Formats: sequence, structure tokens, C-alpha cells
Amino acid sequence: MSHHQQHQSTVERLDRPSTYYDKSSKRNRDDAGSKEDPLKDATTLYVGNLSFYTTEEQIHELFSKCGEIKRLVMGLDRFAKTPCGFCFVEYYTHEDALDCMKYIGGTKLDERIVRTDLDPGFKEGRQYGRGKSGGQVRDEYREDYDAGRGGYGRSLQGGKEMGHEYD
Amino acid sequence: MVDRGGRYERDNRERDRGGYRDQGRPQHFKKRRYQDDEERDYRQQRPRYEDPMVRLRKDVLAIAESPLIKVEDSIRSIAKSLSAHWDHEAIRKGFVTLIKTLVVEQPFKIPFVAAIVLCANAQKHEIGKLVLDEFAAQLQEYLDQCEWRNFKLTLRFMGSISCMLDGEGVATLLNDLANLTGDLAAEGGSSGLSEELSYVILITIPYILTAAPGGITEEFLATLIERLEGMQVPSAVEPLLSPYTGPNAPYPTMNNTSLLLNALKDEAASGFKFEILARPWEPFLAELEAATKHFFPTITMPTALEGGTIFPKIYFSVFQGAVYETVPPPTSITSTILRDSIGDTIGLLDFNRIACARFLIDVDCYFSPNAFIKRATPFDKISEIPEGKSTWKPEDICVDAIFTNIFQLPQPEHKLVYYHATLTEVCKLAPQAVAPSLGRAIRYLYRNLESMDVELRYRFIDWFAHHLSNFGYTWKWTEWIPDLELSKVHPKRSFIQEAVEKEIRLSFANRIKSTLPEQYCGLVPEDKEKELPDFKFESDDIAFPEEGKQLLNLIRQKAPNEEVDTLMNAITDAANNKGLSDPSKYARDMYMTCICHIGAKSLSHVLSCIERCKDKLTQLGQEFPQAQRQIVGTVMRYWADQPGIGANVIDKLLNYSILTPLSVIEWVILDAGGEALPRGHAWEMVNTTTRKVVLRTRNLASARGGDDLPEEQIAIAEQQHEVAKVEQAELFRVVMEGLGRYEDGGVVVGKEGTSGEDVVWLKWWAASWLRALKRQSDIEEAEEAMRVSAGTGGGAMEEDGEKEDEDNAMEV
Repeated sequence: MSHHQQHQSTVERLDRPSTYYDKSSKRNRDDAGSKEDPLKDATTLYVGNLSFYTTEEQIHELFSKCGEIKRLVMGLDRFAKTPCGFCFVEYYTHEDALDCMKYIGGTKLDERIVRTDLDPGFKEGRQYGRGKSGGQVRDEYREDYDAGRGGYGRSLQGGKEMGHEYD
Repeated sequence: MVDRGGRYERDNRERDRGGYRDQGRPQHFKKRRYQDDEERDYRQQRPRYEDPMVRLRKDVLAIAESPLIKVEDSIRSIAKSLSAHWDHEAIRKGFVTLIKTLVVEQPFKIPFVAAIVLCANAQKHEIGKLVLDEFAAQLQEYLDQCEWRNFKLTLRFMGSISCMLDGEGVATLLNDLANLTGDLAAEGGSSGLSEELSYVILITIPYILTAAPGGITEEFLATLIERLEGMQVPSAVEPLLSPYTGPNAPYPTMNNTSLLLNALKDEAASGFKFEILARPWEPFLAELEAATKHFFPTITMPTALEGGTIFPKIYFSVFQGAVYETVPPPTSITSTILRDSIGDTIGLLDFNRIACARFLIDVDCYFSPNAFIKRATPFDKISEIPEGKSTWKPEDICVDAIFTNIFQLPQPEHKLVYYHATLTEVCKLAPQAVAPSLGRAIRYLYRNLESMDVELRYRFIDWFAHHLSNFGYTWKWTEWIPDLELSKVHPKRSFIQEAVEKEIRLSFANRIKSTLPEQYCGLVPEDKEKELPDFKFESDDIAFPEEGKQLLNLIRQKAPNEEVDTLMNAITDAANNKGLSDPSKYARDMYMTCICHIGAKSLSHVLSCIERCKDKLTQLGQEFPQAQRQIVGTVMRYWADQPGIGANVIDKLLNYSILTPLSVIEWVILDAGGEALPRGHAWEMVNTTTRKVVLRTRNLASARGGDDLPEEQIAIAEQQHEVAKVEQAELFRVVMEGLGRYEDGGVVVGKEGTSGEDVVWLKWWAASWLRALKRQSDIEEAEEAMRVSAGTGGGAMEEDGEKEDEDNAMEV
């Protein structure tokens, strides 16, 4: 184990944070200075691409395969307070969170491929979508139809009539 | 031309391994990536400088991967480039580090990497010298740290370069290791380490003998095998680790080390052939014989061997006794060589299951050509294979290796979900080739359910449901329709029921119903589709219906405690006046039922409700000796149609210390009784609870030995550990006594009117639960005995020590 961390592995590791976190931390680099990696002991995962209809019980059933779940926070539409397709799963140990990246990220839940990402930890307020309409930003301008996530992107639904692509 | 093809092949593979992340990415990410690809095409038109180390790394990593490139060409070109650039420190360091990692991450490639080093050594002897010194140092490190697998693989590499070693090469080391094994065995071998070491030595032999000829003779190795045979000690726990029991077990219990030992003895008698292994050095033999040989550095045997118990590995296969021999017979050396190498690949690459799956699918690239039949050959086409040719199906061999992990007792190396995910990836990479193999595996396991260990049965259900959830829940359910007629307690009928239950837990009732033939409708009753279970006080055939509704409102409205207490006391008084026995149980049942109902919407709802009412719940659980057991009963009754959710709620109540582990166990074994034994949730409740208790005891045991702790804290840990040990022993005693009484007929299993045949099955369930729990209990006792005899606090217990922080309210 220690060996893997010392040397570059011969294949990519799936338990590394995605570029999403890298980018947002770069933004803070100036004031962060030489602070240590905030994900070093992370026990929380951001889980994305869920269906709006996936329940806590389903998430629990799948994610507890990597260890006991300490807390599960559903992502909610800021206005409607209904699930909007993401959640935070917190484990008791960092190892469980890494295992979840390795074994569950990229597999299916409720017949959708879920995306997992290490997260520095849930903070109040983060459970709400940051999109203009209350859901996640990605659901604002999505051009494909996704029945599990409320159809077309919200902005497209509101601003343009259906069938606008023929104009 | 060939080179271009090769590059194309590699690029593709790198994309395969690049992971799944693109798939789940929002559209705009994908778009940008796509443009990236286009730009790369454009860039590739320009000639550009490639760093020699980057190039070397790419080439070494790709060795033997592509059937389109002749492996001897790759070996030659890498060796040439190595000797050309050897003056650069970056190349020297980079190469040695790379192959040290490669050996312990991609063991399939060891013979090929060895051939590269041998060839390079023939061109520039400094290369061989440096590799040898660095590997010897690494080998010593693995030995000192008791990292047996890495030690084994690094030793295998050393054995594979025997031809550039002076004199007897690794022979001295093998002898020393055999002496160490002998010493350990003489002490009783209870840690399993002597068996593990025997295995490590023995599995090195085929690689030495198929490598380019070195100083080690067949006679030496034959004597070594004989010596090791004399050192084998039977393991005390082994009888409890067999996957199958009873007269209908599909094959006898076989220990992997014994299989290896006996296969090698057979090989010794027939002249050591090891046809399965590749011999990539052959085209270079003349050059290699002329090359400089190097002195093999001394490896010092460790004085202190750390590490916990190593359990014996038992042979497991889902393709035994088939019409065609799609996997090598267990007694053959080929079987062990393949299982060892594939097993290590799976064990090592858990950090990238997609890469792992790719290696498994490509397994035929790394062994002798013609060792396997063509990939994806349909099972019924095997009859057309001419006599004398291999009938081994690469897909079957890989699927078998993954199942071997899932079905390993007491526990596989990684979490079970890793193996689930790897099987999923293998299916995604080569659906046509793998799906039929998996189908045959499922049928094989299903056929043998009546002999399967109860813990493994549960793992089978868990895997099956999880696997189907990744592939649209499609399975040929029609073939099991006749088995729906079997009694509900029959292992096959119970498997079907529980698999459907598990599927529903990952999905929802209506969806699962839509995937099943109509004959299965009875397995998904209407009640499962309800949004919320009924609140029983809505009905009038129950004691105190009005009070029930009142209490629900009080708790929901967060009424002051006094109001709740007044109402509950009134109910107890009324029950008392009516002369009902245990009058306080009505109010208790009502309170817990209300909490379940208020929290029925989701796990967070019930958790926040429990959190809010935890003082009252704790008090209720302590007011009467059986009160906690009754609380478990209330929750499980409320969730009777979705017992999985009930089990989760119980687990949370356990974490809050509202329930003791014993109360959960007592409810399952004594209250739910024999009838519950075929149910998945019952096993899950007991298994989760006992494991929690065991984990806590282990953690306290290791806390006790913490070197950096002040003395008084060690004393406290010591005391806590003693208490935990007593509680754990009591827990297992209750379980085993309860189950024992069902098994021997001391207590009648099943309700009145249960058929004779069902009684037989229920006793069978009791016996198989008993075996599984005895295994847990025996293992813990043995581990504790080891810790005591080692005199230290069990440095081997690496289980999550952090789990017992203040957030986990398991403190009793």
C-alpha cells in the first residue's frame, strides 16, 4: 500500500479527486498558501448524476457496500426542496471514502452511472442546487432530454418553446 | 506498419483505462474533451521530440499487451534503447523504479520484463548489475515488512533472471526461506505463516524452471519440494472455511497450498514441463549465454515476523464437472499457476478495476500461445475443438478467479463490492464473451445452494442483485419458474425471494416487477409498492387505537415531554386495569411505532426523529428486562413488508446505544425464531451486529497495546477490552445456544402445522447459521489467543481504528 503512494503507479488510480476540486482549489491558492491537502483525510463524497427519483434508501443500499455510512445529505432544489440529483455521503473513515471512489464511482445506481468525487466535507447550505432555477447548474442548459432529471434543461424549457430547434 | 498499429492499440487501451469519469460528466465537459481529441490529431502530424524516458515507460508498460506486435521485437527494441540511454541518470532511475512497480502491479508481465533485463544485460552488463542490486534491496524490504505478495512477485522476478546470476543464484535464499518455514511449522504453524511461506517458495519454482537456464538444478528444486512437504501442518480453522458442506458438495475441500505441492510432485515425476508459461527469452538464448553474470546479494532472514493470522486459501470454482473442461483441473499445476497470477492481478489492481478487467480479458496475451481456446468461443462450440488441443476458456478462468475471491472465507482481501465492480467491468468490456460464462456460473452456484455456507449464500444474493442492477435487471428468470413451487424455506426458493428483495432495495418494487415473469408476481406483494406502511393504530382491531393516533400527533407536533409521559402512563394504567400482562409494553410499542411512522419518509427523517427522542427511547429500553427486544420487534413489525429498511433502522438504534447488540441478536434468534432463518435481512441483522461487536473488541485490543499511551490510559483500555470480551462471548453464547436448540430439535422450529419437510429444512438452516457464527467466534478466540501469546497489542489488526471516535455511539 505504502509502495503505491511512493511511486507512480503503472495504471491510473481511481481514488484521486477529479479536476473539479483541483480547479476550485487553484482559485483559493493565494490565500491558502502552503496549506496541506484538504482531501488528505476526506471521509465525504460528492455523488452526482443521480436521478431526481432516487431515494436515500437506494443510496444507502449501494454506498454502504463500502462501509458504514455516517451521514447522508440529499441535494435539494433550493426552492422546491425536492431532490435535484446529487448527494453527499459521509463515511466513518477515509479508507471507506477512497474505496467508494474505486468501487462505486462510475457504476450504476437506479440504472444511471453515478459520479463520485472526494469532498472536504459537507457544510450547511451546500445541499442546495446553485442553478438559477434552484436545481444544479448542469440542469439549466442541458440540451439532451433526461427523464430522470426533469426532462430538458430548465432554462431551455422556460425560455424557448419546444421544437425551437426547427426555427 | 506494425508500429503504427501498435501505437493505435495502445492509445485505445489508455482510453479504456482512463476510467469512467467521462461517462458521468456533464455535456459541456465532454464537448471540450472531444475538441481536445481533434487537436491531438492535428498535433500528431508535427514531428516532435519525445522524452526518452516517456517513450521507454510507454514501451515497457505495453510489453506483451498487443497480439499485433511481436513480443521479441519489443524486447529487443527496449533493451537497445536502454543500453543507448543508460548514461542518463533519469533513465537508470526511471527504469528500475518502473519495473519494480510493474512487477508488483502487473504480475502477468514478469517473464517479459525479465527478458528485457536479460537482453539489456547482454548488451551492457551495468544494467543487470543495477537491476539486481535494487531488486535485492527491495526484496529485503518486503521480507522485513512481511509483505508476502510483493515479496513473492519480486522473488519471482529474481527467479526469472536466474540466467544472469552467478553460481546458484536464488538457491541460498530459497533454502533459508525453507529453514524459516520449518522453524515456524515446528512452533505449530498456527499463524498460517508457515503455510504461506511454503506457498511462496513453491510457486516460484515453475518460474525458475521456465526462465532462461541458470544455476539452479531440477534436483535441488525436487529436494526443496520434498522438504517443504514434510513441514505441512494442518490448520485448525480450515474445516470451518470450506465453501460447501454436506454429502452433496460439488467437490471436496481442497487447500491451495496442498494442491500446489501435489501438482509440483507430479511435475517432478514427469520432468517439469510447465507448458502454460511463456518463454519470451527463447529467441535470445545465444546472446544470454554469453552475457556477464552477477553475484546475487545476500538476503537476511528476518528475526521478528509481524502480521496477523493468514488463513488457508481454499479452492473454489464455478466450472467444475462441466461437460467440457473450460478451466484446468484443480490438481494440475496449470490451474494453480493461472489462479495465482490472475488472483494477484485482481488483488493488486483494486485501485483501478477497469484496468484490472482489461488485463483479465487479455489474459491469453501473457501465457503460452495456444494455451487457451479463442476468446469468446461459445460453450457448445467447444465440442468442435480437435482432440489434444486446449479447451480452456479465458473468460471462464477469469470469472472463476473473481468468484474465488467473492466466495473466500472468512473474508476476501478487498471489500466484496470491488469484485462485484470488476465483474461488471469485465462484462462491459466483452459482453458477448463474458455474459454466457457468468450465466453458467450463476446456474452452477444456484444448483449447489443446498450445500453452500450461509454466509456465502448471502454474498451470492448480494452480488447477484447488485450485478443485475448494473445491467437493467435482465436475467432468465423463466428457467427458475418451476422452483417457485418449492416451500418458502427451501434454499432455492429462498434465494429467489431474497434476490428479488435485494433488487427492490436497489431499485423500487414496480420497476423490479416489470422485469420479472408474471409467475413471480407473488414475490412482490402490493404492500411493497405503498408509499408508506400502514400506521396500525388507524385500524380498530388493536388495543388503544385512539391513544395511538393521539401519541402520533403529540410526537409530530413536538409536544412537551410531560404531555407524552402523561398519555403513555395513562395507557400503561389502562392496560394494567384490564389485567393485561406486561402492561407497559403497549405504550412502548406505540411510541416506537409512532417514531417509525413519522420517520417513514426516509432514513434522514427517521434519524432526526430518533435523535430528537433518543432520551425517551433510551429510557424505554431500560425500563423492563425485555424492553429492547420488544423495540426491535416493533420496528421490524412496522417494516414487515420492507424488512431491509427495518434492519437499517435497528442498526441506527444500535449506534445510538438505544439498543444493545444482545437485544438485536435475541430478537432475531429467539423472537423471530426459526422461521426467520431463511430470510436475508435476518442474517444481515445478526451478521452486522456481531461484526460490530467484534470490531470494537479488536479495536480495544489494539488500543491496549498502544506504545505511546500513558500507563493509566492503557489500563483503562485493558479494562474496557476485558468487558468487551465478556460481552462478546455472551453474545456468541446466546446465538449458539439458540441455534443449537433449533438444530437438535430441543425447540420446535416453525409454527404449528409446519410440514415435516419444512422442519427438516429449518433445522438445516439452523445448522448452517451455527457453522457460520461458530466460525466468527472461533476466529476471534484464536486471534485473541495469538495476541496474548505475542504479548503485544495485535499490531496486525489494521481494521479501521478511527471508527470508534465519539461520533460512533457504540459505547455501551
